[in-house]
Amino acid sequence: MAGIEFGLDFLVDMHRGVKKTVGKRVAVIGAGFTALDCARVAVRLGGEEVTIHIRTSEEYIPITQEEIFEAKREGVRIKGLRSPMKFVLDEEGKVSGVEFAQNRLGGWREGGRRIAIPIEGSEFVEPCDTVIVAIGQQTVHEFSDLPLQLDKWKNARLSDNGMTSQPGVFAAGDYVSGASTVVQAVGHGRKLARRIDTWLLGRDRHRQAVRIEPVERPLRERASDFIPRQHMPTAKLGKRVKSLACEVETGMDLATAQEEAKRCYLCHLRYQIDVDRCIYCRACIEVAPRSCIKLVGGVEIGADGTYGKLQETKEWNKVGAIWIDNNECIRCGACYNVCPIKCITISRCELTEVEVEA
Amino acid sequence: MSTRHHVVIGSGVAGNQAAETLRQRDPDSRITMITISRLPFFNRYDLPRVFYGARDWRRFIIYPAEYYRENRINLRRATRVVSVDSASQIIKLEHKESIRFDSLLVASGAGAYLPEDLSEFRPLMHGFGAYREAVTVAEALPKAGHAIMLGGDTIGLDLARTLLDTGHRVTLVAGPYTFWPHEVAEKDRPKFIEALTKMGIVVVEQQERGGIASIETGAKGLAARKLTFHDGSELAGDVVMPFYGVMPSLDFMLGSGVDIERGLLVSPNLRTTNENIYAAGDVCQIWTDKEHKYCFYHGWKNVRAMGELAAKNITGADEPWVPTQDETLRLTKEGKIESPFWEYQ
Repeated sequence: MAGIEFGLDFLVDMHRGVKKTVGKRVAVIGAGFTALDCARVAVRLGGEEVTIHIRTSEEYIPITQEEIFEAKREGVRIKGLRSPMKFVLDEEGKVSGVEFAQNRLGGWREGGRRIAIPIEGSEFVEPCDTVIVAIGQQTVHEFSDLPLQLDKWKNARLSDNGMTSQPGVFAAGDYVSGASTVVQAVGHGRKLARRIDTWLLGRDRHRQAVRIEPVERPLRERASDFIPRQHMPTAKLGKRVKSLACEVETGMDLATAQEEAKRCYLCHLRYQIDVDRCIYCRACIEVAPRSCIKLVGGVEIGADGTYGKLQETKEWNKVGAIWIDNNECIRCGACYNVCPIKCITISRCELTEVEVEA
Repeated sequence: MSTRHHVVIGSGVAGNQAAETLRQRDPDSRITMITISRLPFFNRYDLPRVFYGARDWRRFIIYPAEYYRENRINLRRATRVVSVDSASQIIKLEHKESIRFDSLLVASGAGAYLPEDLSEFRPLMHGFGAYREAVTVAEALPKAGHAIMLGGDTIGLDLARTLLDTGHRVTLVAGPYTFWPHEVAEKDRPKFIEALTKMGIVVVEQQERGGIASIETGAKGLAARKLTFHDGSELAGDVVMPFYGVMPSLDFMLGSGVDIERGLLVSPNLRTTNENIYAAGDVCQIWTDKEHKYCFYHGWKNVRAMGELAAKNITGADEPWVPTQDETLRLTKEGKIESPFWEYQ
């Protein structure tokens, strides 16, 4: 049908240099990143009224607030609580609108999303010149005649070693997980490469290990907690919407990037108190900005004799040890700096790989 | 004796009308009203009077502190709600205090909407929704000064009438929001624009100039603001004021478990998707069986009626919302624009 595009094909065509046009009024149907990308490209192609139509509302769509804000800055509108029912065509067979039904919100779907329920008799038409449908993608299997086992979403099913149901055939990325991000696909590809290596070699070439090394002093300050998130600079609005090649996010300068990096909690650093040397002066507890240093009365012991959670106490005569809760710790170093006998140590813990001897 | 705790978020027309009705219908209950405003209930619609020299904040107060004492309404001013947990019926305040409620009425109103493409120029623009903002504009605008209004809307046009009456110049950058919230047919728009021109407003159509490219501080010795359009044309003025309608103030309701689209979604009896939480005023979108969609209703009369209705339904009634205000933009015989939203006396 003239005037109707499919979102991913639209974007891929644009990427390949295929000349595309859109009408003045563009209706994008969908609620994901593809829909948003299509809408922003439509603005750059001259769409004057570009609207994303979604089934639920902005609160429940899986797009970051920054992306939504930037799209709106470029003139994209988002209209919620509507389900597309059919395309409306003019006498020449060209799309002239989309018929929607008004929705109400229903129950919850996985991932914090909502179910939308169309209301009977609430149909209405939104006029438009171009429709871009971006309501999801399916994994393509046509390129292969291998009878692979698929899961309920029609993606390739893998065994634990990353192999499909066909011996010697492995799969990764969207072909296995369904539509996801490039970052996830690259990560999956790397993991799978190791599994293939293991399968070919008949054993693991590497095994994971934790490297622990001492750190001389705290690497973060309490003041870093108060640094606001640094905003990513963007290209001027007038410039960016006139070009398909203009990068929107222009990148941080060195000073801004360093300021942003200071906000990192350095979770790979581990703070520990040597209880044999600690004199229980409480100085570290008093300077701690959070309840990250805890007095421990005992340890839960499971039925099988294993250690469980630490049991906190506030009674000094029941204190058996003092302990830094590294889940609460913000690595500010306040305890380290105040300790009169320097019984607090900092260590860097990093996941690494070591070669396994044949 | 009722020991119910009714909490009202917002101290505007809807919130105060609701509190008054709650007190009448549930005399022994506890009522807490939480507002981010430092002032008690003030007359927002009267703010243009600052241009006639009314600068004392007491002049705008509708209910003094004694009113709240006499009616046993615990008014919490300058207090920000950060979240609402609808399941456990608890409100969290910015200073970490938690307040439990039996019924909650969200009447937090709406703030001025600024289109996202203009957001980077916000520091160079003057708002007009609160007393302090009104005084700031009055101080920034010299005698016979020039105000550039972006958008329009009925709040802006109401202010424009006052500015012209007090000897100021007004340029309106007109667009789709010029007569908001009135829906003016495309064929009728020229005659309303002409009426604005006759009033003395200089009207510039934003679309003809390709939209607003930038707002800058004026050079020394010149007007305080310079506005540049995409076609290269410029406007100079002492203040630039955006009037693009309003956006519901409901950040604190995100994640509350109550359904939201642009406003809080409520059934015709003003109840949200939680049985203990109601909404009234500019913050809510009301389901209309007739139109089969959720609609906003604005204007002083509508908002007051919503506050009253919500309070009635909180205290046992189950009445549906019926709009109380004519929303037709009119032209008088003399060719002047008349909006029913200006009838707030």
